[in-house]
Amino acid sequence: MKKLLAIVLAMLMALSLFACGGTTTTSDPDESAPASVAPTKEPESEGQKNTGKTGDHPLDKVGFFDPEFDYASGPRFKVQYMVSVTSPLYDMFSSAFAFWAEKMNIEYSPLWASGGDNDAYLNNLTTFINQGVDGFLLDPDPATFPRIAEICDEAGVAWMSCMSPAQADATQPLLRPYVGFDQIWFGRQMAAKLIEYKKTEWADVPADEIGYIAVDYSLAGVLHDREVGAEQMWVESGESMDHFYIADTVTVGPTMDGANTAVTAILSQQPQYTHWLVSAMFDDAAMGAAAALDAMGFTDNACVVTIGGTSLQRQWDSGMEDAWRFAMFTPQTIYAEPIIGALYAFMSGQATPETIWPSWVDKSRGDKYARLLLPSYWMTHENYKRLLEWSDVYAGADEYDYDPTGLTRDTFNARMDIPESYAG
Amino acid sequence: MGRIKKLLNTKTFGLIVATIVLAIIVTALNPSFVARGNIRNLLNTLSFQGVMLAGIAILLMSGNIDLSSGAVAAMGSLVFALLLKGFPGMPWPVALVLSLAAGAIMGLVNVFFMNVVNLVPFIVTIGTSSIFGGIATVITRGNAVPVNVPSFLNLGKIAFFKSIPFVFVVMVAVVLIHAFVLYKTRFGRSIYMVGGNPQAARLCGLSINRTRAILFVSNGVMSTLGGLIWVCLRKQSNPASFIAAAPNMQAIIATLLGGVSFMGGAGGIGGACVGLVLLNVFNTGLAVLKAPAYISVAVNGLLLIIALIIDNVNSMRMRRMLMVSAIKEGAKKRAAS
Repeated sequence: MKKLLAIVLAMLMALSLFACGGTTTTSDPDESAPASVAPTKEPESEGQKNTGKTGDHPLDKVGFFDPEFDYASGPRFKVQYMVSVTSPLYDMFSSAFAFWAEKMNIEYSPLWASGGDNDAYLNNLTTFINQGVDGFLLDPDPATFPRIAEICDEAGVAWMSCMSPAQADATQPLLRPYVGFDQIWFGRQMAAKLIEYKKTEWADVPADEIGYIAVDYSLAGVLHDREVGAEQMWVESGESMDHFYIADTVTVGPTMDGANTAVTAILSQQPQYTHWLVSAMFDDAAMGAAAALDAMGFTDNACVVTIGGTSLQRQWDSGMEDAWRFAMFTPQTIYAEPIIGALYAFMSGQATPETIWPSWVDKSRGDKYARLLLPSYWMTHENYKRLLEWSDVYAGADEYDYDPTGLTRDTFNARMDIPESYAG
Repeated sequence: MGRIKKLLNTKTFGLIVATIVLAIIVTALNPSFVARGNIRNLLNTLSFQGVMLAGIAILLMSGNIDLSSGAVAAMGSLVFALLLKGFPGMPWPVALVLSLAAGAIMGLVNVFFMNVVNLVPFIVTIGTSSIFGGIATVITRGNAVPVNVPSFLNLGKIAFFKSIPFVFVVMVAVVLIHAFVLYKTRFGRSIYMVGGNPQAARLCGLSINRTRAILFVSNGVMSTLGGLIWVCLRKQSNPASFIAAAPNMQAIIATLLGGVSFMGGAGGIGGACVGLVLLNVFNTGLAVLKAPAYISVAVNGLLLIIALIIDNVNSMRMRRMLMVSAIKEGAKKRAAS
């Protein structure tokens, strides 16, 4: 019986390996992937253009903290932040909301989590409404957004979605203005940055000695879009797909260890490359990729970039440098400001969800509500202290402890140009 | 010849054969599986998982289980990183000893709830897993704490014959020490008795609580050591990432696959280690072959079920053997009288 079970076990595992199919060494563009949203006309690889084309309509200025406005003279609104499941990311968001709430004379209740229970989420939403909460910051299961919209509209309370757009899925219309990012644009920026790095640092290295790895998690659309964007930019830049590899972490898990294993597998399989460019979907993946490159001796001949950068800052502060060299970073205070600012505008009557940020309504999609895109900045070892300290200067916060000499609110642009495609 | 036949007839041998067959299949499909980079990565992963497995396997043999191992490892390694960050002049061996002590204390917390409050290990360790993991997450807010001590980090880079990591050798040493204690000492034999028949063990004068206390404290130390090996390889303490990787669950599945009984009293460290190697060969093989996600998820779940089936079959076989033995004994006594 023991031997039989051992044989059955081996056969099952062997069959599953055979089911993996052929061992193609290059990635093929995923032709069956749903057509991604037509990318906006993105700026150059140095980051987004910020030439002041951020909207001329008066209601384009609403929804941001105004240092000249006397918030204390108005009513003190009650705001509750509700999430589906807790995570450090939501915790950071909550801290940023708390910061702005104090400046805007808002009585802010920190994040409440439903533990993934949608019924509990909706029930407690009603309970909070009955307790007199004036406005909500919401990160629920996206499938519940339509029901949330019904409950809040019936009760006449204001609400804004936070990290996810307020829509049941990508094919449905927005139910509220969205503040966030274009994930495909992120991917394009990462690839553009790496191509620029290659041209600058490895000008003498033959093209067929440079490989590109996109660390991906294809099960999560938001993260997968970053790989899609990177692949688009790689192809549009005239680079060969023969040198483009995807380290999909679905098999090994979207963790640092998973990224390490997936990237190691590609590095081992392609010994002909002497230099590597790597775009990773978030910090942990970048760290795992950098660890794999380090273990294989590629640290000096590799460049890893990602979206995020909090861990990179900590690494640099501790004196560590490895193949992870850049991160596209948005300060949490900049991210949170327009979300809670818009909510304040709704509660105070300055604007409605339908009228706020009219220049940011993407007519090419037929949107009814605005999609405000946030600025992101390439964080480098040379500029990271100034960038992070600037976010404190801009917000009047005290999160970082770097030298603020010479920094003003305008040192970096806190707004992004409206994409030209929005005009329709 | 008898010993060879006995060896060939064990489940461990079956697992060894399964592992070799798997490795051959993966290599045939993609020869880069045995490239130095993949082998070294595999051995690195086995290093921290194997250290955790040593403590977990012995706990299971004693009839206990510790589901908080991952959180203990995360918290213990965080203590190490924070000590080095907060006291830059502190020699890392001192920080290491203090963090192992922290792991022992966390083991004692588990012991308190089991021996003093009389709660079931399964429930206690689920609770303490959340407590320790939650504390680590609150302290770090989900961020990593880099460790930049070259003399410590260099341990993760040392490799014998360019392929066998030093940390793997550490793991082997830890496993051998545990095997020695288990098979060659009275305490080790008492572990089987406590796990197999607690009432008989008590009647023989063995202290269940004392045995449990020693094993949980030891497991706390081993879990932390596993976490420290991870820190050495990844150059940081990252509780959120470590807990997400769940190396302790891999260790538990491997232990059950390797023939250690979930009910206690049976199994061996050798089988558990082979189970761990099999799991990691499989997972690395999936990464090398770029398997679709559903295969990994489905087969990992299936492996757990198979492990439990194996355990159940073994338990039933043992009970049958004991019953047959008791019947024969009874018949002998009747015949004699």
